[in-house]
Amino acid sequence: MSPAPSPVDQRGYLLVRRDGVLWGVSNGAVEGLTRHGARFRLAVGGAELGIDEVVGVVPELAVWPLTGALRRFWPDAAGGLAVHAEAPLVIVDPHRPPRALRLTDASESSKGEVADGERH
Amino acid sequence: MAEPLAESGHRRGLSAGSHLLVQAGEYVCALPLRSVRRVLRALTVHPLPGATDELKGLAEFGGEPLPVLELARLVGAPTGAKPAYPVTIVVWVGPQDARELVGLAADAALEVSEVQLTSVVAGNGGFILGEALVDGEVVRVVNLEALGGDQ
Repeated sequence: MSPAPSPVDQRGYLLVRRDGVLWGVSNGAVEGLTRHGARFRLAVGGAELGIDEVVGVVPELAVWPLTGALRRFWPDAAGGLAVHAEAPLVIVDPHRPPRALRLTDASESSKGEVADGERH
Repeated sequence: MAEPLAESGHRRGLSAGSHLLVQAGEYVCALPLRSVRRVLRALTVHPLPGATDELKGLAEFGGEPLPVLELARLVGAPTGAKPAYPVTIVVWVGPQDARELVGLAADAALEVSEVQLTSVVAGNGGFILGEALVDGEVVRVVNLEALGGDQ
């Protein structure tokens, strides 16, 4: 029997929320963060992602790989799974940003302003 | 940490035919007890956008992320009455050499019962191994190995 997957410790994640779902983005992958009214736009891997809330930054997360059973029922791309404050979250793969975070309407594509103190 | 169900059952003399019977919608399903790790009051689940109907979302279990699947959807059970004490059953799925943990959301855990696999009929060759009679009631016997990711 193969051992259960082990988490990989990586350092520095920006935690964001979209439609109630918690996501983690490696600090090193964040290219920009701009405010658009009450929402934000996050630049990752050359893509612009829409988010509702910046939850904060955590110094490290234990990241588990996606399991086969999860991939079978959730086809979106992700870099792994983690838990923060007893809440599960999905790690964004900067090379394959998830469809769930894509900008959804033209208003989100308008030019925004840099959020004070929140650029990484 | 509490002792895993399968291990405690083994010491009590439960056989390979021992199954946990659970209510899933209008169906009663039988889960092989050796694959059951824990039965919990329903975990808080965080839905994932874009997931299929079978995947309720992610939960936290023992400090780790846990995918939670809706058992009634997996077996195609009609929706039953609103459960009074819904549960999450943490089980091992997939082949023995690549097993992984998932949660199964169900309406209730009923009892442990013997299901003779030679009596199972009418399976679909996949997730439902077939049907069997237990105390005069039809139960759907679940093949958790078929729930792995590479099926």
